[in-house]
Amino acid sequence: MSAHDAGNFLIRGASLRGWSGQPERTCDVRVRAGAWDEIGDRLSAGDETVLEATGCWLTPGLVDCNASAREPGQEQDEDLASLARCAAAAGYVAVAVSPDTSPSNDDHAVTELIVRRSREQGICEVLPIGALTHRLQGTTLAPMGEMSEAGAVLFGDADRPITSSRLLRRAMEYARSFDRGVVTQPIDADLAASGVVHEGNWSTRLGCKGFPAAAEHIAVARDIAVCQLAQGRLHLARLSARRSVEHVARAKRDGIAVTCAVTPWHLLYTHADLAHYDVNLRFVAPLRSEDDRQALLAGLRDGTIDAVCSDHQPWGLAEKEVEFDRALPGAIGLQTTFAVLCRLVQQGDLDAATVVRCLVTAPRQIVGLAPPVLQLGQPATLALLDPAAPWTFDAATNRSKSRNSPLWGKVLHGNARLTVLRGRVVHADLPL
Amino acid sequence: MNQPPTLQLRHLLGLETLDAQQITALLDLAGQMKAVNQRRIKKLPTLRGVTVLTFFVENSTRTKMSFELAAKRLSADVMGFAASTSSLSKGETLLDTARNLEAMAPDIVVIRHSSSGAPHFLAERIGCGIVNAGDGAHEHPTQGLLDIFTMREKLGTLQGKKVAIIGDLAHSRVARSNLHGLHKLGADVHVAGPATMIPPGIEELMCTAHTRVEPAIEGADVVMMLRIQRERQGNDLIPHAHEYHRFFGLDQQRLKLAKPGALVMHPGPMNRGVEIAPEVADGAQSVILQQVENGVAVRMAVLYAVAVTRGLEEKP
Repeated sequence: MSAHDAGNFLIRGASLRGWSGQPERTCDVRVRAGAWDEIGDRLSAGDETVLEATGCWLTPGLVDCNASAREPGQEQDEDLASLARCAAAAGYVAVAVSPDTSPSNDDHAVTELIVRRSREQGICEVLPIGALTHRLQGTTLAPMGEMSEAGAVLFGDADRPITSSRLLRRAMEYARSFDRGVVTQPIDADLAASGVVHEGNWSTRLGCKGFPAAAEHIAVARDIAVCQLAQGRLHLARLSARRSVEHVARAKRDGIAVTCAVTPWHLLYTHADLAHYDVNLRFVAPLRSEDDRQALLAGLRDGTIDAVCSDHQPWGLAEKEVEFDRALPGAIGLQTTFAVLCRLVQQGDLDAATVVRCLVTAPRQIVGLAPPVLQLGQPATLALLDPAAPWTFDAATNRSKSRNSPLWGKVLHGNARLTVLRGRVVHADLPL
Repeated sequence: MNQPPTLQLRHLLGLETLDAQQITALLDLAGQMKAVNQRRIKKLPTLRGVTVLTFFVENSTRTKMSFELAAKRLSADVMGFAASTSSLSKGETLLDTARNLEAMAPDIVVIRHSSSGAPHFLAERIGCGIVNAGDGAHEHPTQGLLDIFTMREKLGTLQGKKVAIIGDLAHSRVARSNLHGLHKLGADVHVAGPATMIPPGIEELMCTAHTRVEPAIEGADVVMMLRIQRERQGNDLIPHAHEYHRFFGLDQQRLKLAKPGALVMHPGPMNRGVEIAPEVADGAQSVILQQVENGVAVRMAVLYAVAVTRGLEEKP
């Protein structure tokens, strides 16, 4: 079996995880001509390929709620095809892409371009996040209705802060007509100033401008208050601070429609890891203290934090091989997010059910996809994940056009063995 | 010049990563260099054929001249590179500029840069020895060494001596290098300034922080005043220079709180009447010009140590 075949295979001994109306259980599953054919115990093999998958998770596929595709405009760093190959190789079947392209996705023509190219490629479903404001400038509303028709699933201004509370309110209200949520990156830009490192002992030691935690959680509190006022739906893209998690927990108790995500990096690293000014550890929301990291893990375990996003940010040498405070923030993340979470499971910080919730179930709700069902006769969409598979993230395995990752060259555990999108095999990494 | 075997110095990126032995060895070496500087012919042949490049991406007169003089006194060839006249102002990245410079095969690059960590960035990517001449608000190790050299020269030892560092600690690389070095040599360091200028977690660099200057100066053996940069006056850090001088500046009256004969230091350039009163700057306790003199000797020691570690020196 190679990629792009219509699948005929029998998956033996995997555990079903993340399916709607399907309890977790270990069984055999047969896919014939790309469609679900049979579920049962000890199914007998016919002429199809048999995959021994004991210990693997048979999921409906991962979904990412925040990645940057760089197309249109910066295709030297990534494009929709390479992004989709990264996604498929990691078991993602849908990826929401941020509007910070060039031109920005603030018009239905750009939305249509993204959707059409991705459909033609057929490797991964790419879900455009439309701009909230014209050219991401935070001054006038972008045409959300037309972008919704063209396929935009959420609206936000990528990592640009929306300074005006009034505009944010109007945007959330307006988006309700199209049943869309608004996504923000909570930053009080005035207080954050040009901070690049969490304000604390490490920013002092490194002599870097501090970005206080308050510059995030003030904005979290504001965005939640505006969401309540507008009766809208809010998704907070990437949280990094303990108090931010506390604000979200309280908003959820109060019944406000808020969801939030974290990146794998904030679960794995802290500001102490910046001792050598690694540009690949510079993020829009900076790495914070161990106390903050523990609060993010706890928030993920108790469900306050809904999802883990890859925050895939491909950048080339010109943006990354520069001074720490001049480097653009972010790292490529699609191919390593699952492995990072597997490491956290290994360390006892998370359990497998949480990993499935934050990569499979919750992101679907955030981007507005229907709950995944395993219905016989229907085309199969799935990812077969091996939480223990060892692999090295290097030039041989990387599918991105960029290589800006703190995990470059490292041996990781956890990867996708097989990804199928609507009956078509889009990734197969199998000793058959 | 005999370099003790403990002093392995491929680069000098900061004082944070040096231990007390290494710092002491550098200071001892600087002492020998100072003796050379007091001869009639102030020149050694040791670094003949070694190329030292001063790569200053941020303005500096004193430090650049001091390094160039130090290199020349060791008979090295010195090339200067200034950001304003270079390709960096035409949009070339630091890495590309550095690689181009490296292609001209310098042995040691002395770098001054406004971004913290820039010397570390170069040290990981190009082959020559890197000497940090000030990076952002991070470190200025040769300034720290020359300050400590001057204190040691006057006080004998730093063990148990009280050193007050006063001013804008948040933006001072000089202060950070001094904190790392002074602590390792056993000094009791106090820092003071308005809370807007005292960064969080500064105590982890082994000092006691105050928001008024008097408790820091009281009984001090050394009072080091930091420069208040003009762009920080009248913004959100301090209301204006006059008020700063009244509450945080060093005048005769405040200096009386220190030990009799306490040293007055300043890394320069001074703002007379802001952080330091003119009569204190020019007074009997001031060692400000001796700091400048010692700077050349300290930089000779650093260049020599890096060259020797890399096997570049002329063997007799």
